[in-house]
Amino acid sequence: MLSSSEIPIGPSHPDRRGPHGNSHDSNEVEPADGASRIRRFFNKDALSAIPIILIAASMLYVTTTYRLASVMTPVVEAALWGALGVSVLAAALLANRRLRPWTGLLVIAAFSAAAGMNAYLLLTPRKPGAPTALESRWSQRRRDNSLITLLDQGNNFSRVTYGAHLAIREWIEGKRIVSYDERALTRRYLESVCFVKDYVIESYPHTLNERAYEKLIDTPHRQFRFNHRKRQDVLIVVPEWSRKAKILYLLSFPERHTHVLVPGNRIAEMTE
Amino acid sequence: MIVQWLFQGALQLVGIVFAVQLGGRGVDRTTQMLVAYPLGLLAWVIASLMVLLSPLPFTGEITIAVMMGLTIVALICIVARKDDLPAFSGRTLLVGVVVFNLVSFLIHQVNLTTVSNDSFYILIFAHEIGHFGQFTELTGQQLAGWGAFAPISQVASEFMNEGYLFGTSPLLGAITLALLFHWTMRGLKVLQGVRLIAVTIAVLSVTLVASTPAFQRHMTYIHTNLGAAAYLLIYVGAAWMRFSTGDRGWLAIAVAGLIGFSLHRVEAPLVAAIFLAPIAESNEIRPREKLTATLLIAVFLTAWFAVVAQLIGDHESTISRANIPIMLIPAWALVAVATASFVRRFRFLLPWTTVIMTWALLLIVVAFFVIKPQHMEKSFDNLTWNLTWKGAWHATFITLFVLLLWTPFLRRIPGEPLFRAAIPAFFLLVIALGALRRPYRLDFFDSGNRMALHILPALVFYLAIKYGNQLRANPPSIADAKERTV
Repeated sequence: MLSSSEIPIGPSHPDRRGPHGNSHDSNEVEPADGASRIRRFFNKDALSAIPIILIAASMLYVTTTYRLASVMTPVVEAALWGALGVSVLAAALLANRRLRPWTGLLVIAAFSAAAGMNAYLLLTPRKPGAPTALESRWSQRRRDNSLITLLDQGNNFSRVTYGAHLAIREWIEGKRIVSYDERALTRRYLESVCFVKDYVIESYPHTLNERAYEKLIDTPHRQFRFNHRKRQDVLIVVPEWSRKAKILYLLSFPERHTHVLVPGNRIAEMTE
Repeated sequence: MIVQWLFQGALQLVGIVFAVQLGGRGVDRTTQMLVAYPLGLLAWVIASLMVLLSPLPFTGEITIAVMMGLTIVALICIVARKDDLPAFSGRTLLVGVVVFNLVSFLIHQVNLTTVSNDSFYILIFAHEIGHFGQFTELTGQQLAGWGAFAPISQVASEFMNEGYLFGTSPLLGAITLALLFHWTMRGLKVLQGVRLIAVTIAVLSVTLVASTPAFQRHMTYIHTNLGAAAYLLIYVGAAWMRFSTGDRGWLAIAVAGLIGFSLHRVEAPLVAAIFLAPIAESNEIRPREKLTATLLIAVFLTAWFAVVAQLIGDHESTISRANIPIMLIPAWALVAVATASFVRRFRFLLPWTTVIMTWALLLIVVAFFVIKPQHMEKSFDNLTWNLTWKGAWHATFITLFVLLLWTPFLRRIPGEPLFRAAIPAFFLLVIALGALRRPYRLDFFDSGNRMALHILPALVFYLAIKYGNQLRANPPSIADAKERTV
């Protein structure tokens, strides 16, 4: 594809600099020393072009051969046809010396098409009646920037762990921890991650056993919050994230006094 | 909200001093205003690290005092070199400050933040440091897996008694887009001078990046990747301007950008070496300049990772005490390359640096495919599939790969190795890193998928100026290009 006149010359040797002190505008013939012989034999720019072609081509190959059959949607199909069109056009333009400068238009065409497709996907709901990606994101705006509010957006584990972390740091020293889980993991988390030395772990109150929580699942949490007010100012530890832990969280978190700690696998990772 | 808004505004003011000091007369005023906030944020992080590593108590007041001390030193340097003062009018300053603060105000009004587990770890890390005033056992260990930039910049929220800084990512994202627009325009002006084409391509470049869902998510996401992308663009754009205009001030901005990038992630020294190699090998940059740039980066990385080695102890994650020296070897190898450029006999070998680097990485990737075929196949397959469909990039990377495929056949631009060597080397490094961990998974939150963001703005910038440059039949000489930039 490259004609000999099109193969760019490598970065300049000071001896080869042109009138402006740079190799870019230099067409001088190289001196016939050992260095130039090596350079002629292995063309540096040709060698440096191979990896870029290999990577771009292999990624496009993998995309088109391995996966596409299962997810062929109109958008994917359009993207592929667009990519093929750009490739064919590029080849045609590059093959003709006169037309070669017009390859510059490819970037305008390709960027326009890609940006248009991105915008289409952003503004089109995936299901009829569902919010678009843009609407979903816009609806996540908040009025304040407290961590408590941020926690509402995080996934379950993070929400609980970070809430617990803050709770521990603020007032856990010498406090009582009501624990559903008395495994060593809880103690390890408290001591090595949260640096809490003085605490008491009690077993979880029987009145809030697993069976009771099963009953709470479908009940609006607001009315049950009242029942938990007496349990403010404690840290509740449950063995793993579950629906009942979620209810516990919902019941307790609005008061911002009771926190739920779930020492799951990720905490184990942190402490190991 | 007001406190955070004022804090971000103050960082921009501090950054303006550093931008003027580093850029001097050669760097245009718009660029200096645009890089001001990232440089101010970097100054905050470096001041925080200086206080944390000194016997001084780590409080907000002392950190601000240290940052102001650094700023005053920069101001004295500016005043000392009267002959190289930029033509910086009061109007430019006013417009830059007002526009930045207006955008910042809007961002703070919208108040949108995306979080994941990683975000909470970063925030836990930040609040631990701020609360205890030192690197604790936990935070020291976290350094083995995280870069320092994101958590240290978030420490400010602890000092302000706020939950977290929510303006940092959107501001860095907005500046990335603005820089991409400005540098694409400027780059095409340097190369061909057709304004309409330059404006069209610059607008489309920004639209492409801004319409990419992954970029949008990262703009509100508390993580390391958008910051890494912003600072890498500052490095790549400024280094390319150094090649195309020949002004030394650009290289100083580029080095500052690379230092900011290096603090973002633990594997950053390897990526930094990849992008620094074209500078070290170039015969178009004076040997002393190259040596200064490479030495600064190598010494900074060595000093920082010596601290990291002390803090992480025997803890092992992405990095450990054992592999820190290995990560620093490439940076020092580039110092050797820059030093070799003083010796006339070795100069013919220098342009091979990036070729050797890229092919060495290619061979490493091939070796990994031979040693761990299933692991690598899965990793590469998932990475590719993330970039082309699953990873919230929509049509962006498919388009970029197609355009990338044809770049070797197009007319050369100044500073070509900065892209032609570094872009494939970056992707090869990401693929190679997949061999040293669990295979990349199909998910937006996958590490390989997120790392792709680092190169996105720089890649779009390259393709914009590379293809845009083809529209002129006879490219200008470098001398013409330099004249246009004055």
